[in-house]
Amino acid sequence: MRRRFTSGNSAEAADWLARLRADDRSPEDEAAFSAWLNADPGHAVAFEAVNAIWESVGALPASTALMGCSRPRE
Amino acid sequence: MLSGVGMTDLVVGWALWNDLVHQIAARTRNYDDAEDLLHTAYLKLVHYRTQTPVENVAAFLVRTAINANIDNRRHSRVFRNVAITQQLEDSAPLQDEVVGTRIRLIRTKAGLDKLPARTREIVLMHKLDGLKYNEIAERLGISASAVEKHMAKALLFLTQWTEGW
Repeated sequence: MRRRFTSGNSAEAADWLARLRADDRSPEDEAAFSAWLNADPGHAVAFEAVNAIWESVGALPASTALMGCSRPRE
Repeated sequence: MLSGVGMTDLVVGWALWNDLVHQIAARTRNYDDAEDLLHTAYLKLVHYRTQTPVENVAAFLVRTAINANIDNRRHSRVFRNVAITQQLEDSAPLQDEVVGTRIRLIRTKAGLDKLPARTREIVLMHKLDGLKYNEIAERLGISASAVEKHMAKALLFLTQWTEGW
């Protein structure tokens, strides 16, 4: 059965990705992340989805010709 | 005039050579390769004459050149067909993948546009400019922890926004 991720899992996955990208990411963070991943199969699915979105943001500049992307400046 | 007896008399004057090239080009409709075909035919003639006398050298050269052209075209047609078939087989899934990826990227871009300006900027500064949270925090006058929260918010929104695309 394909497990769809709930918004709870998504929110946690997003929090985790943001944490793991932080300057002060610690071994404790990594251990806790690992534990979270293993706690439920839905967690890995959710994290995979969040990570894929994160990667795709990196692909945006290459496709600016297609999308007419521009960076808004504050 | 060509004679088919000894190697020493197998000298082809320029005018005759040129005439043969034109004959071959006309018969094969292959103007680009006509001279090469004649060269190939000439080499075959040299080899053939070691075994068998050739009555009409000019006719031999033209006929051999035409046959060489037929062989080349048959070979290249097969090769081209194989190459084209391979290309079609390979490109179909790739096309689907490319289109699917493009659609998802368009969706992601639209999602980015929906984010609050500061949140979007933080995402782009981190992902595209490669800035660390501390660097972003300094530039925007906020804390690194606030940067992290913006990141998490953006990631959650974009993931849900692109779900199913």
